[in-house]
Amino acid sequence: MKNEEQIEAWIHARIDGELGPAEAALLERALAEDAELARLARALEGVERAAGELRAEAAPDPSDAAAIERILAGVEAQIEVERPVLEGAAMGNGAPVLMFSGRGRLAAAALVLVGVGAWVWSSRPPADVQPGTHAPAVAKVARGGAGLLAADNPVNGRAEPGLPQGAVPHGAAPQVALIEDRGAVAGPGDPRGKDPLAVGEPEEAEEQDPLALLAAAGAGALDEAAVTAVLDELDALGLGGYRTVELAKDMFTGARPASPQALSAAAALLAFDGGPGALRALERGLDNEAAAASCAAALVFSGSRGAQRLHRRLDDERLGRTAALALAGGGADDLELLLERLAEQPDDELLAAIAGADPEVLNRVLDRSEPTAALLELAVTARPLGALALLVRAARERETAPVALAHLVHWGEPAGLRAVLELLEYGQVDRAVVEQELARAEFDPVALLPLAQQLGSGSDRRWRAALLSLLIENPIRGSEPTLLALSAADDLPQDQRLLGALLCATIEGPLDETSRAALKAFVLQCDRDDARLAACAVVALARRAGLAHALDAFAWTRSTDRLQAAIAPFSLDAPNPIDVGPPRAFTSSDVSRVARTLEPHLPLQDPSNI
Amino acid sequence: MHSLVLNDSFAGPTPELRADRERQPARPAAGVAELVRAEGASLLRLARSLVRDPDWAEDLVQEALVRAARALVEGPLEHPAAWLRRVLTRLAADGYRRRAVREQVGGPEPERGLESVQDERSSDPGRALAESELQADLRAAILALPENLRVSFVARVIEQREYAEAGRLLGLEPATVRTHVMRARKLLAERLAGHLGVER
Repeated sequence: MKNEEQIEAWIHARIDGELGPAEAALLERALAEDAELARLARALEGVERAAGELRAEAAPDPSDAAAIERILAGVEAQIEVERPVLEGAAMGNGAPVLMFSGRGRLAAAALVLVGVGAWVWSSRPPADVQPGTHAPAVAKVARGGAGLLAADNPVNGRAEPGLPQGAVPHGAAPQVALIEDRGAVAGPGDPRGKDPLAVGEPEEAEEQDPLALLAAAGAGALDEAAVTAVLDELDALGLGGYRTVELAKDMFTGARPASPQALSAAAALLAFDGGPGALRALERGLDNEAAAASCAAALVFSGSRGAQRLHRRLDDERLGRTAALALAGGGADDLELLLERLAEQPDDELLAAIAGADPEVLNRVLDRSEPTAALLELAVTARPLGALALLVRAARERETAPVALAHLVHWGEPAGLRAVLELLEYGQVDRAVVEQELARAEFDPVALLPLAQQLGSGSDRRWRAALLSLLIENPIRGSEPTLLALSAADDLPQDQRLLGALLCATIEGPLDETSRAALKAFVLQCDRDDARLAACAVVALARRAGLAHALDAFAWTRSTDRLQAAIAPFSLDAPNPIDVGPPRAFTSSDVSRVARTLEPHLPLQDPSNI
Repeated sequence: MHSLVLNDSFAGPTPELRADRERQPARPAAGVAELVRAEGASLLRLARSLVRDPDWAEDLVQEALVRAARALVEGPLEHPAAWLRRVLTRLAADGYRRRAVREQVGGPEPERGLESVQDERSSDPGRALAESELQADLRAAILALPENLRVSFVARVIEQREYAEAGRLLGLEPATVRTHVMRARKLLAERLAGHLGVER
């Protein structure tokens, strides 16, 4: 008889299918003779059979591909979050550096690295979101009447009125609320009408029903304290820890039918959890129509790892829009991704959603992104602090200059035009493009007054000259009241009145007697300030009110010779309409050009006006 | 003030910007993405054979791959497949132990080993009902094996790799894998004797 060691090796070999016929016969005989070895053989083979059952359970499945995709998404998200640290480590030791994506997620990285729990449970200002608040803007997005996550702006502590579709800025948003949609169809155990604040004090019957508990929570606001209370209640029901995640997952998959409020509450709890299991459960919730919006918002709230899981849903026919609108409340990376998509496919609703994002996040995006049309549109729509700087930067780029200059011209505040003038002054933009945009603009002179005051009272006459040149060439349409207001504004400094007069002199449309008188008065004042500007005013007046009025004003000016020289060419049809004497670089060319521009339009060409 | 319509002539990002973006890899970590493609499916099956909860299994694979990414920063992995399997099975074993500890509210942390793993199984009756006691105990027992035996056993028996292939995968001699598997089977047989009807 062979020794036991050899017999045992044969047993293993038989299990492995590697035993030859001769050895197999010997083994059979040995086992028949030794009960202990036979027992060992049965045990080892029993292990193999049981292992085979495990193997069968883990056999390849059609859902494996989706699972691998989810895993890859999770890995990518985690690595992206850790990228600064990993890259730092790599640079520190000179080891090969992984090729990470260039798009960082710095704020969220810090968030995750210090631990989700730390930030979730740290002290926060109280929630502003009111329990049971009806929010039409949010409710319209909620499919199936699902309640949605809402949040206060984490930066300034105020509610974001434009926060779209439950978008929750991640990266420290402390306040999570579930906004009730009372039009929703209640599911089983839905305590509709119950005091939403009674989250921590459920009725006796509901204490035994986790779905009722969640429904009650979902009907009200959930801040950290409320979340803690709900988690405690679930814990008391034996559903604490990972079982909370499992409960939520069962609700999302329909294994445990739940009301929209309960689904939203579950999403909120998972958002606060933020762990891989919670994120995976939220991702599953995206496939539940009633929970999709809540889960999308929760994924964004949970941080960059959650948001990354939404990124790959952007092209999903059913979920893409929900994902995009939720991501609009995300971090800078999310916004950049959305802006790339906006560049390909304009979408006003999405743009508005992004514009409602945290201003600090927006500024970060504007600051670090290459200017694109979509980014400029966002800057103009949201108008965060960095918007003008971005427009100026974009105006210097050949590709984006037309759009940027147009935005600046139409900015609606003096700062926009002032930036244009500055760019012109330093030769950083194409003057033709600016003039083209100005020609298309419909200026409101009232809105331009601050600019006139700003420029008129300043000492930089070059800007003023440039403005005059531009504005006279691009007439303002209709502002009689402005003209009258200016004429009455005796307390305005001279330059401002001059500027106002010239602006108003370019107004198209009939001028009544009062307006003409006001203009004439301005011309006289102009003359006291600067003969060349007075010439401009006279030319403008001639254009608008007719030569007789211009000459009338001209007759009262002190600089008769120069004004006469200036005005004469119009009647004499001379090639050089205005001679303002020795040229001064900052004004003469502009004034001359103004006159040349006005020449074809002067009423002097109409014999009846002569 | 009229609303501005974007200029039709605007052509989007500059060519330089576009080229820069195209140069950037589509995946955050190319090395790990390759690992996922090469090993993801088999790792997932392995994880599912070790833990019954499919979500937990996915978590295990994900965490193992994330750890691989961190390790890759330090330098290339000599045997990435073996490395991943070691980490994955270790994570699974740790997870079993943690879950068992979590169930014992206020009590002392149980000793590491099969008992605590069995507690985990029995503490989840809903799931335990769905699988045989033998399978549950086998999972627990596999995870309670010493790591070298566990990895070899999993590669050979669960993943059904030939010894030579398992040896290449794990960076071990085939004979070493064979020895590990034999020892693992024997330990498992002793652990599961009650279920297998072979108690002395």
